[in-house]
Amino acid sequence: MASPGIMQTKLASLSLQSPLLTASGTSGYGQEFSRLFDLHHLGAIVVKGITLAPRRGNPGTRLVETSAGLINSIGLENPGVEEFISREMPFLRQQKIPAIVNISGNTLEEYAALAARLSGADGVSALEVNISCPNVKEGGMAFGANCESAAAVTRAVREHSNLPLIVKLSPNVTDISSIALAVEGAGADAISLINTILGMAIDVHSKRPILGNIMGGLSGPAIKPVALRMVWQVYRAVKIPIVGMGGISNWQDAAEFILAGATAVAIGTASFVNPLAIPEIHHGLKFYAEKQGVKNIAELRGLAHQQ
Amino acid sequence: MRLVTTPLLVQAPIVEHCLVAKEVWRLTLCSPHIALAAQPGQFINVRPSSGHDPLLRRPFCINRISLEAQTISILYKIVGRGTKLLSLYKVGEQVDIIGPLGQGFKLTKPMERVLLVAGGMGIAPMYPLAKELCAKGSRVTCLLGVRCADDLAEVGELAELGVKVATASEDSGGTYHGTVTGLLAKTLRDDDFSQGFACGPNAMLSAVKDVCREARLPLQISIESMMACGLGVCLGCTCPRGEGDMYWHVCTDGPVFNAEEVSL
Repeated sequence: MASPGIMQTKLASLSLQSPLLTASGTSGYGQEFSRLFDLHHLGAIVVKGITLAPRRGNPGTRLVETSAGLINSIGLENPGVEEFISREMPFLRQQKIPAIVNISGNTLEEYAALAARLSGADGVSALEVNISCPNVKEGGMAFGANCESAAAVTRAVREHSNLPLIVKLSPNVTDISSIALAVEGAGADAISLINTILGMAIDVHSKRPILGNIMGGLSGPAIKPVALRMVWQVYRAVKIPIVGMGGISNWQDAAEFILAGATAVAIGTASFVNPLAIPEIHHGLKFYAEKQGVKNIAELRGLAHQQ
Repeated sequence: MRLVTTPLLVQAPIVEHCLVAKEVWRLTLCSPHIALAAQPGQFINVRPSSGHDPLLRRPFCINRISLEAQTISILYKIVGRGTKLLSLYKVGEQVDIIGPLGQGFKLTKPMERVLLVAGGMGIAPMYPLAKELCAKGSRVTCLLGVRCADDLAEVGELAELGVKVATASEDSGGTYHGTVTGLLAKTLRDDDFSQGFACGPNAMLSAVKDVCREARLPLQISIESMMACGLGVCLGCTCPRGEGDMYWHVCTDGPVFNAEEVSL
């Protein structure tokens, strides 16, 4: 007999009905997918990255399909925090699942201002601090590239918010564990990883880069082994929970991340291809956990590390 | 009156899959929901493979809508891996599709004399548009442009609807030797129209837009874009707006726009 709460997951102070989240930037602000499936299979909605001022995003071509992957250079197109609160939060508040708001800044002050503003907004359950966007010139990935700046952003947000803080790390670094330790030390409640891997593609006919921004972030099944390896490394380095993501396309992928040490997992590019990926993965993962004879999915966490 | 409903993800069985010109295929799929909901100019997002490579869905304009048969069709040419895989599907097999998606042609006001301009695979949305216009009493002329006359599709079918069809081919196999833009300029010198609709590559649409602006002919265009989700989520399929420095998202704001609203 399966335990009714087998998928219930505690992520820092958040109680989730499933360990499955949407990856930021792949589910908009929740409404689009709510037309295709019942959101109750979701642990939480992680919304598209928000900045203080509206951003129009990057010019030119923003997408390239590569082998089992997708390179994007959207450039954090978003309506800005005020418009987000007035236009998108009412829908998110009506949902029975937590809304995690992903934030990006050009400066420490912008991160602090966003944290303060969103902490005062009704319905925001947690913040995901993006220090890893490869598609904006200032800030973004630059903050996530070394321990000091990653810790500085985390502290700036921590000082202005009592919400649970999930810091999203960039894979475009030499030593992911040291960055993870730095943000843990600076007050992060959880870590999410990985953001996209910096990549590019060239048109052999025009002999020019395809993306308007030249480089972009690679996502999709192609990056899963790299993401899984980083979750493994970070799990060994820190005590705070991990939201694992990067190329998860089916329940087996999700199970691998949990076995590597992830408390929750996020689904991104797979939802573009199959908008029903999250409910399908939820059912597959639940069945897997039941077959393993555990009372809760958390019992599977990090099992791959056992001798 | 038709129902406007939300898009649906369906495994649609293939009822017909045939070559209609040298390299142009028509794929007809059974989906009562999409057939009932679809409007001319809307598209479906087709998953050519259940594996990881190629990864993404491909958007295709809806080329036929049959309420009686509860089917919709798309028209495509093999241009890459996705369309190659699609061409291998057999009648009776199912294709994973989402639709109907996007904003179709705006046909609210009466249009007496209508000019359709299609370049290459831009012919795809023209048949259901012409059918609806003819049913509303419009007099429709359609200009089809192709590189090589072997690629001409839909000429007979459009004529059967009562559409006056003229073709332009760069290899001199059409009724006009040259580009469809050249044929358009000639047609506008000879005749008056109250509304134009165009679909084709961006360079062609840009030229058509210039010619129509000169002739003061209101124009709606259907544009093509690389897409990841087709649902307005990924924000990847942008097109600059005609005014200001913001972008449209082709999948949800389009694919049909008033020509003056976009910068090509």
